[in-house]
Amino acid sequence: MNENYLFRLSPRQRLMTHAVLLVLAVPYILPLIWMLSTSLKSDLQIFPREGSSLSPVSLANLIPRPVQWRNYPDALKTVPFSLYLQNTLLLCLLNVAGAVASSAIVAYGFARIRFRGREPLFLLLLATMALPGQVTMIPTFALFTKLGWYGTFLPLIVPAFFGNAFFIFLMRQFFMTLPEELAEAARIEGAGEWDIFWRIVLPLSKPVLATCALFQFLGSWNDFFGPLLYLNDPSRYTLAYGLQQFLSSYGGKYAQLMAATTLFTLPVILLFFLAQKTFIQGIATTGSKG
Amino acid sequence: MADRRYTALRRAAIVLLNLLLVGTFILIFALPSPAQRAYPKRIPVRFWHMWSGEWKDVVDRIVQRFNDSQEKYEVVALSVPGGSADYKFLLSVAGGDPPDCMAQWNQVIPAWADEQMLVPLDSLMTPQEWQDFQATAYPVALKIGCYKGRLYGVTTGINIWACYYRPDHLRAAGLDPDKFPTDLDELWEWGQQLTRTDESGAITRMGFLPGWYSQYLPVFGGSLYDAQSGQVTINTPANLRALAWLAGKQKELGYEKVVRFQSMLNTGGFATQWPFISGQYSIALEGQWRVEQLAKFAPDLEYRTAPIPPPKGGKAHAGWSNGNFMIIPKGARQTQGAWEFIKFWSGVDKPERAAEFYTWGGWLPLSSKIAQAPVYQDYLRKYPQFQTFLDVLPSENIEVSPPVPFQVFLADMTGRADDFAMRGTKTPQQALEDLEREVAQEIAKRKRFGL
Repeated sequence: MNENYLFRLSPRQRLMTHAVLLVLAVPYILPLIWMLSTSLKSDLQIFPREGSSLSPVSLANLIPRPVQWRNYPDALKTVPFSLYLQNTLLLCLLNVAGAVASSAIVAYGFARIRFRGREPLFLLLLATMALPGQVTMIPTFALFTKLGWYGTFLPLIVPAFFGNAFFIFLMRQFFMTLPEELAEAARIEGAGEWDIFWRIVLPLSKPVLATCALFQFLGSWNDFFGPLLYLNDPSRYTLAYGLQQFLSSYGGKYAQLMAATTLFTLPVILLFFLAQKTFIQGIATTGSKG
Repeated sequence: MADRRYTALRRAAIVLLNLLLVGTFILIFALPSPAQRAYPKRIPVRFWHMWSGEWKDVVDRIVQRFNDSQEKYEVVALSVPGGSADYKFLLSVAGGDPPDCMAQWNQVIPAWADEQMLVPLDSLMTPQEWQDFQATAYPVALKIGCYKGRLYGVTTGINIWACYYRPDHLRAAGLDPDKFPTDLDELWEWGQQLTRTDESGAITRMGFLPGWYSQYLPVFGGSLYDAQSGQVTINTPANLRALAWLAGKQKELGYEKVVRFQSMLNTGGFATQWPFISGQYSIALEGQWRVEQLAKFAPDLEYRTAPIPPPKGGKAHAGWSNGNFMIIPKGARQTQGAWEFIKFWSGVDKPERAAEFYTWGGWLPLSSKIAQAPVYQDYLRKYPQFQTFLDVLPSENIEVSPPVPFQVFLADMTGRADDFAMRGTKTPQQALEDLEREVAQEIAKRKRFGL
């Protein structure tokens, strides 16, 4: 759809379009609203007593009465939130840096450097995306154990520095849309492949780099099984793991659980809102304008 | 205008981001990190369990006691979120680095023992110790812990179910709380007298709701397993009698009415939400852990407990049981350290010392020696309702899930057959015949795969 399409509609048509879109958005936003609303309610409002006029599933009951902010500090006290946040941020940061840097280098090779076996190698790379994680889980686990990495952060960080097949694919497609003439001009000026990659291709590829960074951040932020399998020290746990721990410990305490869930989800939602323009641009893989 | 608004929005976003960043750092540095190992010079024994919340605190106390008693080992406990514990455990075994010991639900024992993933614990005992263990452990602890004659799990807490009843409801209905029924049909009659409905006929209070096939099977003298032949037994007269009785009573109450009543109940995760407390049940079949919960959350509630009464020709002190069992995986680095810890907690070597741990969790013990320990007797005096469970515990009539490697499949299918019969979708006879056929197919399939 053309981005000016909405502005060509009459105000009435625009109103109708927005109304329909808003109605369609309700089922998607409702669980989030419920989460936020429950995180601020008292137990009495979440589980109304017998004979209470409040129905736990009514729309009116979505408004917390009274607003109980205490649920948030309570939730933070039950698990070492700050420690888990610290670990999660460390993992996210290193994973984003590792995955984006290594994938960009490999993608550049596939997009711009001609060498024998490039196409079959690229196909092989794509084929690795079809392998379910369960297939490689045991050999990978055994490998990390043999390396003595079990129980450390290393199995959760090092693989990111060896490229990510999906990111390589995404970046390669993006790099291929950049005009070859730019690289040619640089070569004439005496630039090597590294210079072209670093000074020309990367600065023009911010949208795709940001998209991959966001994907990796989300993946690391939400990763539960990695920490579950490889970490045995509670002081190294991450937020996703901590949330699961909270669920199994205090599953019945919906208000605190939802407060913890909100705290867990909020940074990701904020990040997405702030980066959504770049994100969509990167997905669309339009490297050049005009 | 739009540009100015955009700039303001951007500034606000930057301020918000900075605030978040500052907040994050404050959070990071404001709260302390958990402590590291207390005895770094000792041999670590890695112990995984699935307890969380207040139960985890109890486990940590027991671990602390063990570590205080030791000079050689240090147990390092790790609480793994329940739903994922099996996954983590199996992968660690496959990857060659399992924990030294783990507390698990008993259902895993036959399957994992069959796959030779567990260390037979009797191999860690002297012949005399093994003999003593068999002589003193309650029959149910042996039934669950053993597979094909070897011991693979030692319990640290058995679950037994019994009737909880409310004397205030009984008195109001003209029933004598001191003369609780000794016959299942009489109990059903009492339930009828205690049930209340509103003007539309909907149930507002359930006197007594029979249900859960596995729990009632042994009461009728039935069983899903024949220990002599080592075979699963399904379509037997006693098993049919139990299912037919349950289905008949469900029909009498009205399946739809029961479902409507149950969906109206406020049964969240809180112990305080047990409908027995709010008076929506007059008699309820529940496990021993409710005694401690009631003391904590409804200390003023008057209630009593009694074993499930058998029907005519049935078995007294019968029912189904499960529990927490300690296992040692093959490939564990510190088998001996793990066994020391298991003995310490379960009371294999010093029952009197371990008795205290059982009272901390409100758990049923491994042997009568523990139950007879002064500290456990004090606990019984404090919670007299607990005595019922201890009375039932030594009974040979307590059944456990059949010790077969496809136990989980069997439990799922039995639950399904139970559900069909309760809904009236199948007759009890048909439900059992179908279950028998499905299980036979599963056994044949396993044979084909060489399992």
